[in-house]
Amino acid sequence: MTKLLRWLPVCAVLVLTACDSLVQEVDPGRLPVVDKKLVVHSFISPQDSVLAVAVGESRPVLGTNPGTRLILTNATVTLSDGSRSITIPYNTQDGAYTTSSRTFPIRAGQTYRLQVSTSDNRRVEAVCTVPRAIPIATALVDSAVSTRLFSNQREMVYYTRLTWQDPAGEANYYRVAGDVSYSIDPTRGTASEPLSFGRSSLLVSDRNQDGQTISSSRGELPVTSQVPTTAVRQYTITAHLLHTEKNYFDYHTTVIRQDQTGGNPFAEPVLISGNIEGGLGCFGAYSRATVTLTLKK
Amino acid sequence: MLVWMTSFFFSSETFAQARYTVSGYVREQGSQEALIGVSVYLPGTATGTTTNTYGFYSLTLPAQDSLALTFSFVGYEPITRTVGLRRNTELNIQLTPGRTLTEVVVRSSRAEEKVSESAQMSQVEIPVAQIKKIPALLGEKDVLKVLQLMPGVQKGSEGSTGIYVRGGGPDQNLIILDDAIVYNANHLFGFFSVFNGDALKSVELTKGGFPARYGGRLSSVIEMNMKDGNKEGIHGEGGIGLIASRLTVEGPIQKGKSSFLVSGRRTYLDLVARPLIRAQSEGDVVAGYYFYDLNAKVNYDFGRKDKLYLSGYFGRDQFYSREKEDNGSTNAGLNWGNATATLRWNHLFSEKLFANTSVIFSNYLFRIYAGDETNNADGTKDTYNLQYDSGIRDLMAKYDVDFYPTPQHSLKFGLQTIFHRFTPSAIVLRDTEVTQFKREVEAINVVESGLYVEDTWKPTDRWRINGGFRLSHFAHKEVSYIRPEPRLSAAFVLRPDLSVKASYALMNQYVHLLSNTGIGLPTDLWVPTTDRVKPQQSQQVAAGFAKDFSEKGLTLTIEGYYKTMDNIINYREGASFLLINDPNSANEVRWEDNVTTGRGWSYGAEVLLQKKVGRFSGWTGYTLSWTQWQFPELNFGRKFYPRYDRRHDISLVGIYELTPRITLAGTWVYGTGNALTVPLAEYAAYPHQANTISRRGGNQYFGSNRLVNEYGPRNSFRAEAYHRMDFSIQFHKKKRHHERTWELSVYNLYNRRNPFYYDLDTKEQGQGQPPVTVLKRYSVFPIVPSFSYNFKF
Repeated sequence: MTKLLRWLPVCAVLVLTACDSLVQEVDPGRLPVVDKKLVVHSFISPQDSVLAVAVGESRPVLGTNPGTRLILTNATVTLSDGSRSITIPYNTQDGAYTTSSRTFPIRAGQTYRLQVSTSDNRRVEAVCTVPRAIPIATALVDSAVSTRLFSNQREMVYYTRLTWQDPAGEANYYRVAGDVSYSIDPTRGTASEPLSFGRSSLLVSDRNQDGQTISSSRGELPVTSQVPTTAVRQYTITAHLLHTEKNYFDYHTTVIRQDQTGGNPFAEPVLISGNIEGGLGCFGAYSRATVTLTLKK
Repeated sequence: MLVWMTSFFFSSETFAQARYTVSGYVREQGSQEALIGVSVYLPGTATGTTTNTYGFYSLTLPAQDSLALTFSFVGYEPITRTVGLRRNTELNIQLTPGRTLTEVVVRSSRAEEKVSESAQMSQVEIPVAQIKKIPALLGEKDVLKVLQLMPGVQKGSEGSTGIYVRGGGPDQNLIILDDAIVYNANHLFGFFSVFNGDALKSVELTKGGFPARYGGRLSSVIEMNMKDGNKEGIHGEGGIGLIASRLTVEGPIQKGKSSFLVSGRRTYLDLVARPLIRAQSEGDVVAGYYFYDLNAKVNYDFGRKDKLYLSGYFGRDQFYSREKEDNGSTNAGLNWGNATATLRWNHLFSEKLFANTSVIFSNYLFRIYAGDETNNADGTKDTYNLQYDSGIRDLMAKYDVDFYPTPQHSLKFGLQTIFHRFTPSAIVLRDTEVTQFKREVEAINVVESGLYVEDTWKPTDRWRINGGFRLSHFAHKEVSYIRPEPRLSAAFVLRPDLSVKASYALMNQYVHLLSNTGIGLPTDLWVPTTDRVKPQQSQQVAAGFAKDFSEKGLTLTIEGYYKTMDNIINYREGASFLLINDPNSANEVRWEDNVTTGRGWSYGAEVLLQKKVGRFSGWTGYTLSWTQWQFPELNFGRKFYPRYDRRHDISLVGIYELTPRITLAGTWVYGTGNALTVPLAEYAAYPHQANTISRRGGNQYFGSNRLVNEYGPRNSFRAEAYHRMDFSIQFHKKKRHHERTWELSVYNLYNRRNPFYYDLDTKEQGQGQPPVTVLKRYSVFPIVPSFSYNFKF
């Protein structure tokens, strides 16, 4: 025991020296160096009336990063289908490069190439092929009594669900979307809001259900304390089934996942999928099928 | 095969000369504890055998009037006995533990079971006595952390008990305690393992060249055997440390016939912290954490032919918090733990045929719970309870036979069957307001079986061959697999004390661990092979040299290996363990949707110089290795280095008996930094605006943008190298009735800031200056001194 006591001052010194911080700044030179990259986003469809392309740039994550431009307004944006091409101008109002698709219609089955270059000689491009539309087989509206968590209020909720037949023997990717317009009081006109599909179930693939009839998740009609469902007289639901190509699907899936796992240092980080050669972002295509339903009460 | 058959029958049947068998048990003097792996041989020859897991040996030799047999084992005084072999002879031996302070006396050319004499390669064994001397974090001696100091074995993150063997993950280790599979060997987020060194008799790790009796995991077998309990007198040992205390008591029930062992450990941080938390919350909050382990074993010796062993392990980790509020109370917590029970019956059919039958139960359960009670004004109570469970339960039957027909052959064959019941996720919500809600991913019942035969064959004095074959079978309601697994290890003795070895093993793994952290959280989920998830498979070839320096008590092994792993599984990027269904979804989320399969490659070289006994003992290990993974759904299908790929790994372990009363021990480890993914750049990602009506104002064709990270290729950032030195000093003193040891140990002696993880942070630069983003390293353990008091009686 006496021997041990002789050791105690040594221990005390050791403990005290240990008290400086367990969190320390690391030399940024350890990180692999990355250049600023062009970031391009565009989603084209035969059913859309506008061709829109957003162009920006990335910035290194370390340092002070002054003057980063999320949007570049002076790039040259060209879309071509192999035989024809069109240069899309920047539109200040839209905050993007836009033009009407009447001048350059998008066709299912066609492959398109998007090229973006800047005055300082940076140049990126991407290719995508537009899938055909898949018809919606059924669109059903149903209701249920729901109890709100914590408030214990019971209320009627309405939701809609789409089904469609997946083509067998190929990988298919889908996205569901929709809008609801409703009126409470005819004198106040109608309001509209998106149909809310859960963020993690917006995107559907036929992985493990190839060739089957696929059901979407439930898209809930809007409910707020200002707009209780009992007060609404009529809902008009416009539901869309987007048949997308893989780039579109992967990009959106990974963006949602990175957002969901953000901030957890132990979770494996999600790498965002992209198909812009030499840059970041996504050039994706889809075809849209739409149904409209009216729910009168 | 033909050669083998011919030799087998030739050697056993054709010789007309009478042959007799000498057989028996080798035990420790004073405790009657059976000794495993004792070398039994004819001095001056290569003829010999070793004792099995129950201390039994058998040698069948030509009749002779005087047969000298030597029994030797690391740490024990060797014994040579002479018997007349004119009939089958029983020879039971008791070995006396050697005094550790005297240098091992130089003995005949075959002192111990030498590594150069065995066909087995890629295997390390650590004497339990050494484990107790090696310094440990907070003085808690840990078997798995000592194994991490061996070449070819890497730890996960700082302080973690996770074991990565030759590029394989922690789930690819078959951890067995008295024949029972232990599924989650961690306490407190992997900082401590569940194995209590006081209760263990032997620890053995196999990294390659797997004998056919083992199967079911890709990368390693860690076999631990509990002590049987002293048959002569009551003895015990225990210790009081900074965070935990432990006590082991063993002794005879019926002297010489039966004995027991009970061993327990519990942490007491919560007992210290509880009054503080209560005081701070003015008596409203009770919260804490503890874990405990309990090992118990009894055995009964019915005589030479039959022996019965019953052993069990039970351990739990528990986080809890209870809070009183004005109008009710809440309580929440999580707990997890293993329970195993093994019943074994040894039966000797003849002097040459030893059989063991085991029935084993193993259960792992993880639970999160939260409850809330509200007292209403009208005197009624509203209650709300949420419970999430996941687990695995095994029932296993095993039958193993050891057959010793001739000194040239020793055969092992047997079969085993495991009924696994997996409960990947079950959620129960009870609320007096709504009717009970229950969502249970259906329990999955599967059967995993194996049938094996292996022969350790010495065709000539120079060759040692262990050839074997295992047939594994797995049945799930939708799918079943039957897979052959050939195994072969061979050693060629170049000259006494030096041999060259090679091995090949094919392994299948039918159960998988889903883990998105790799740090051994209890949320790691065991799942079976199903119709959608295929069994994992590995093939490994290894070759190397083994050299014994008998005079110095040193062994040197140098090995190279190449391993491929198929259908290994990993979480998909961003997936999580909680299988909570999106209530809007039409299809139930299956855990298979969260995983992705791929391939892996690992290759490297390992050097181990080991000294097991003597005044100065320990080892030096060096590993040079590469591990790569390729998953179609990770890193865009390109190959990458997994997190624990480690180019260089060095460990130095030294134990020095300075005087009979003072033991010094030190370790130093170095490892290349982990391969990590850190953000390199960021940019605004625009989603597509798919709702047509919502296109209003601003950038109407795109949804609102999110600032996202660009990481570059997966795991392209190398963390800083890990290195650390630990040191301990033990003061022993023999008192009248017991021996006590004071231990002072220091973890991370030179206070190295080893990385645990990296994260970005923003730093203010002062007035007028924009804030700057910096990369920060987070460390867990600075220098950690600790002391403990241990006793033995």
